[in-house]
Amino acid sequence: MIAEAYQREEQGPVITGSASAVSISALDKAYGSRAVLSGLNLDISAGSFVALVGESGCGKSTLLRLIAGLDSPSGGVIEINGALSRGICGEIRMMFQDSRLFPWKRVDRNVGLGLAEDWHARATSVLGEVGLADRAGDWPSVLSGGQRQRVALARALAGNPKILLLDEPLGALDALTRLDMQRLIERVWLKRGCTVLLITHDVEEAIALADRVLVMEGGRITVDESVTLSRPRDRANGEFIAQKERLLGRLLKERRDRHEQ
Amino acid sequence: MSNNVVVTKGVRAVRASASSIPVAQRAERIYCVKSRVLAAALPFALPLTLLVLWQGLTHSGIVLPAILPSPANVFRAEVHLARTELWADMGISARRAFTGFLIGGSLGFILGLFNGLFKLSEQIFDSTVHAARTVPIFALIPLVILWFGIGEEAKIFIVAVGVFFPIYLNTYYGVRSVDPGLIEVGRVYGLSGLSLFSEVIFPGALSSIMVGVRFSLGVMWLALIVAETIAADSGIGYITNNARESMQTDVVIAGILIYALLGKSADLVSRLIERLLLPWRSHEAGLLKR
Repeated sequence: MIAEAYQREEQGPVITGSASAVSISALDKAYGSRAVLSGLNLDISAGSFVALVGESGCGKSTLLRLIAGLDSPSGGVIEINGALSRGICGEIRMMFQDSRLFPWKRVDRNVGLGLAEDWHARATSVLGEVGLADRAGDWPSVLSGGQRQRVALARALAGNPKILLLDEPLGALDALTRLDMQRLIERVWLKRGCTVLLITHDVEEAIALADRVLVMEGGRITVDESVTLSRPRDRANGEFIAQKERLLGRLLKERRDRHEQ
Repeated sequence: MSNNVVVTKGVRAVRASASSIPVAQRAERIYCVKSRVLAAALPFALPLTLLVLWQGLTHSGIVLPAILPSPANVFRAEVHLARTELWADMGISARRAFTGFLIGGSLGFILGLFNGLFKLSEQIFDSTVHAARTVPIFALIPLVILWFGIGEEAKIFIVAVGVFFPIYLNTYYGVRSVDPGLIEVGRVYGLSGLSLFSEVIFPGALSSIMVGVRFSLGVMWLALIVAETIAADSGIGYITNNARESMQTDVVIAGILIYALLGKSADLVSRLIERLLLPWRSHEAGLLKR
């Protein structure tokens, strides 16, 4: 299945054309007198995988929440698939660092959250997609951290969203589970062709998964690089390492500059 | 004695079915059965010891029957009551208790929900409710007698007032303490208004609400006993109070034991409801024990 998906990738992106999934101009967000985002511009083309890297407090989660419609901007415009964003919409689904499963719903009901009558069929199929078809009837409390994140991913996918927002979904997982989840996310994206915006602390994760890596510093996007390595990506590859070192160096320099101020 | 029989039976049954299982595993299973029987028997140890002590003290004449009649006498009084007025009075007491519980409980639940959900409602009601909470309910008894006499309304009113506060507080607290992260997820996944309430907020508050229900069941009996002892012409409180006047200590103790029994069964029922309503909770608790 993976090979098949990669083949499709070689044939060209699943969604073609230069349509933007997310288009943001002059976005401002302030909490009280503290400006978190100021004059941010960003255009994400449909079907692309974008990673957003930055230190905590740089405003990346705020940006994601604004795109999701969970918060409203103080100024500027957000367009989703060409239409002005008016709060929460069904085309966008979001996944958080903590799985946020409902402890009082069994796994399949968690996945079917917010779906219509066919929730059960869709939950079952999407649970199969993340490899947890046999856990449909379990309570979330008996699952491991990695399994919970899989269920959360299944829940995000169940409504067939066009845009998937991932807010550090792998931050709390151990290294092996993390690697596993990264492969799963890549596979799902290749298969579905949705737009993914992933927030991560981990530069390596960003380069391994994304077409485009953004670095955010102090409420602005300061680096915007595309990753052109072929998939599946080899992390021991020279180019991979070079790009990783370059981005890490950039982040370290930024941190040093801020400390000197 | 009967416990021993159960243990040997259990062991024998395990042995019969375990002939092909390795010895260590078999031993573990036997140990498991033994410890389970022990765990089931342990809560009964203290009441039984007390009973034996009680019988010993009264039988030997150390304690006078007028102060503490022997368990046998209390049992006899119990049987006598059961043959005469007990069932009718128990029914009356139970009806008072549950009518008051339903009225006070539903008011507390509704107000708790509204104050938990809506800022305006909270600002209007919450501080007044907390002020009213500090008044001991039994301070209301003289007023209640003036208003209702010693009729049914008086007792139901006292019970309802007593039950109202624990349910109000726990419902309010339960709604307030629902994880905002879960509410956010609900919103992202298209829930709002009633669906957000029924799928996220209410189930999230439910375990706290059930704590309120269990607590208020205790208050329910307490309030009822006091109300029946002070002003009643029927009910268990009336029986015991009447028996006190004619120095029938055995009947008084029989009445007290009936109260204990009623209270315990109400608690059992509420636990059962809790297990039905919060199946994921009992699962979590089971995991912790293991």
